[in-house]
Amino acid sequence: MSKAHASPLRSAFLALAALAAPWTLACRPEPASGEPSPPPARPAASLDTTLPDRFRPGFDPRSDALLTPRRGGKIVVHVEALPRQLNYLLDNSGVTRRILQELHGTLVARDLFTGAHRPQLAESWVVEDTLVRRDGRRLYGELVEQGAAWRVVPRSSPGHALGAAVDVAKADVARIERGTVYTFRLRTGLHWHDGAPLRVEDFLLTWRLTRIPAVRCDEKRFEFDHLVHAEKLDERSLRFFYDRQYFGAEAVFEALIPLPAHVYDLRDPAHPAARPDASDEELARHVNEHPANRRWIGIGPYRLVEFGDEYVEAERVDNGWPAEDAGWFDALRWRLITDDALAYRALCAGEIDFTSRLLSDDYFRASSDPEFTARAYVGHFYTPRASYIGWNLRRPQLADARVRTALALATDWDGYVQGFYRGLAQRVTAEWFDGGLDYDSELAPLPFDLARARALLAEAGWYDRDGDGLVDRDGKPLSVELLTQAGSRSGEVFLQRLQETFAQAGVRLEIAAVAWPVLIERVREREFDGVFKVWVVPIESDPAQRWHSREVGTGTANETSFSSPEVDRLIDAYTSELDDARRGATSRELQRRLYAEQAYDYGVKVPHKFGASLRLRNVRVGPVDPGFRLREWYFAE
Amino acid sequence: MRNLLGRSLRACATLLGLVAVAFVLLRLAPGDPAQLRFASADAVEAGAAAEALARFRAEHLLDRPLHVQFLHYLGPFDLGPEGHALFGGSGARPLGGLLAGDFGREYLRPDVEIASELLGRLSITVPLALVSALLAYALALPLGVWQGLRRGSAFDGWTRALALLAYSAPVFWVALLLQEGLGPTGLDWLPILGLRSRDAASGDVADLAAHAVLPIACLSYASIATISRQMRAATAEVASSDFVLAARARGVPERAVLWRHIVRNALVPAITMVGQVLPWLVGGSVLVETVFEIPGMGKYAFDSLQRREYDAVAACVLVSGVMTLAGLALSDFLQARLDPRVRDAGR
Repeated sequence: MSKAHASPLRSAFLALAALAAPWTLACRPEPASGEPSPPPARPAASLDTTLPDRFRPGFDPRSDALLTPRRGGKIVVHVEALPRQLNYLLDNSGVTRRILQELHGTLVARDLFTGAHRPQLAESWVVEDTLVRRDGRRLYGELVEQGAAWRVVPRSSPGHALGAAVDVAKADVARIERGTVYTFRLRTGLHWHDGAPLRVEDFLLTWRLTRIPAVRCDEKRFEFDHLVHAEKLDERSLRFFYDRQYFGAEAVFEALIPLPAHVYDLRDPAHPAARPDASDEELARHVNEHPANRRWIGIGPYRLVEFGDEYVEAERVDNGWPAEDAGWFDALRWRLITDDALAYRALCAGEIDFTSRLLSDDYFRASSDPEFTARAYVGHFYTPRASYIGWNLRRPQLADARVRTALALATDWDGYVQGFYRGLAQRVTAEWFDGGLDYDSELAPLPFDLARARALLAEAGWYDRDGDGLVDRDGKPLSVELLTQAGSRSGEVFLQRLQETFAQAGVRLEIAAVAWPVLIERVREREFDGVFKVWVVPIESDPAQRWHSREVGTGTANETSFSSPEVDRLIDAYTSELDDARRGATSRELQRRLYAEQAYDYGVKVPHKFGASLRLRNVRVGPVDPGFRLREWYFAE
Repeated sequence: MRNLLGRSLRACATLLGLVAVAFVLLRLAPGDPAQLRFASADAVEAGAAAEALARFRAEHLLDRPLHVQFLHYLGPFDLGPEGHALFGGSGARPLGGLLAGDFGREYLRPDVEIASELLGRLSITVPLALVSALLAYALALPLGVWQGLRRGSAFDGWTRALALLAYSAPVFWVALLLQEGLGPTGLDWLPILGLRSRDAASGDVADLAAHAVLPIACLSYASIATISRQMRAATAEVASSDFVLAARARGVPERAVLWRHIVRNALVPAITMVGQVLPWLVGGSVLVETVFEIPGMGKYAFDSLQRREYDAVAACVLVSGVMTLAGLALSDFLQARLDPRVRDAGR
């Protein structure tokens, strides 16, 4: 057969095309055996995954020298959708995030490879603790234990309320909260793309907007719920206060992108239509409908020049951004191609320089495709995202953990990894980032074991009483419906196999492949037995939304309706723990509890399969979403 | 004048019915824009999604009964929270809806006015459709005449078989086939993505023409098959009629018989097909523009359907309806121009 593609429909038509028009077969050489070409060689396990160009054919970054970087050229990168707008507060889609990574900046940014936060628009920051006295007064500073007292030492300056260290008797202390006050000092010399200087007010505006319900930022608002106060200290310094100790506090400042107050804030004197008495509703409408949401004014080293129906384009701007991080390309273009198979062809044609969305079939055939290898090469990387099957615990037949475990044992994840992904995907056992400290790597994935699955089902009262091949109880066969998104090739392959293995365990599996909007609606309304999805996990994943009993209900992220007092306790301990080692221990205990329950059957960490132009240099890919930064790359010529 | 008025009223009634049907069907389809708006992982994490969903639905009247939503969409009074004071709104935006000339804004991109977006998209779709229609007629008419005059010949047999094949081949399949065969992974003769190469200047006509070849081919091949079949049948029928025989008997030169008697009369049914061809092309543009990533109205309709942008889809349906009616009016006009019997009957 000629080639495989995104969907069986597409494959079927191309198969018919090959039969109807033999000339299409003559267009491209195929392996003589008719078998798919072998996968490209995987890098040795010991090879540092941060090495640049490690997938480029013939280049060994350990011994070969990279070309001297030079400025110039326009890179065209594939995107699967265009953002609705570029105001991240209002549109926090993955595509927006990817584009703003080049066009904008935040107080702190995450290192692509280590995951650690580093200053970006902030020059530096100081973290202090809060001491809450029994009379309710709060003091902040570095808390140092001094026998029977706590010494509160002001670390941040200027504008610290204490001025000098203060001792408070432990008897007068109601509680202490670590890491709850953040004081930032901004870089100097940075300018918005319209030429106005970056100000403290720009950050305070964003924070203020998250507290106005009429601003359409419901996806982001929750992140700032516990950031209860913000203040300007001087022209370069600002301070934020948390109302609780929270392990993911620092990551919030990654999301707090500044908005130009002179453009968005009706109350800002620098705004051309400034009105100090503008109401919150007026301000919200002004922000929600502002033309700058699409004609974005950013602070990064590239400024937007076109936002059309086909692409978004930006060009280099000199706005004071540090030269070492200002990128090498003269222009960046994000080209919309909704069909990932078409992106492969576009890469072959030189219409794009990079895609991180190669289909598995295209990825594995690319190395034997001369049209492809003449222009590009393939590689892969992983960001924290995993496929899983989530079971609705409200369904009587799925309420028993033994049944769910049996279903997990009847799922051939390893076969899926070896078959569809040819070993490229990796098994995971929890939603935590498996490169992080919180992940329990000693927890082994459940094996594919039909005999054990059948035994567990029998133990739970499900066995074949009427000889029809299906296990039953109370006169009803064990039957489940699994929701999945229609048109997903990987989903179809996996679920067809799952149907077979479930049948071997005596379970009837019905597959409901539905459009994405329908899937969302049914999961939100809890009108499902099981759902097969891919979960994109933040580096600091807060498990409360998915597993805490207070989140049980319709429309929440606890889609399985999971509830366990012990798990609640562990989650509360986990999210308030700042010590990495102690939090790691709690996390591992939590994972073991969830693993035993099997409300989610975590499957595989899915690889991002990319294709890159041979002209590109210094292509590094890492584990932090989106896995790459265009600013590091450059063209060879 | 009376005839024109009657036709206009009938056209308005047809469009109203079309909009009503599209409106109801879209809202009865599963999935809703509010769910999609808050479908991202972050939104789900938010937990407060229920409130956000409720607010979004209230803002766009998605929580109101269907007839209220329809009256709001139809206009001329805005029934939303900021709509006409008579209907409980704040009065900030009293008028709105189709009858007020307002197609509304997108749900997910509230700064995008559907009318202006549609206008921009039509500036791509309409030229493509017109060129495809012209090409279809330019090829199908002589082919049909040739077939009709040589009925039963080997040429007639082969071309009829090809026409049947073309008529039955789904447009998206042909589009994929052409992409695969003539695109960069095949013979690499033609570009397959959009209407412009990455580094082409905006006025590069040759580049635009190269990009338009495959989409136009996909849009027009079925029309060529249909029109040529029609033309063949009409030519054969006219060629064997008595007045042609009489013309020949009178010694009229064969060229004049062909052009003045056969072709002119056989053209009538083929020309009236323009009323069908235009809507076909607009309908086909949904598939062709999606496969070739061309940002025209067809792709807009497809994307809007995926995103459950009800008003945008309804607007596309309405525009298609207007184009269909315009095509029918044009075919009536042309038929009247070509056939005096029709013209006289109208008097």
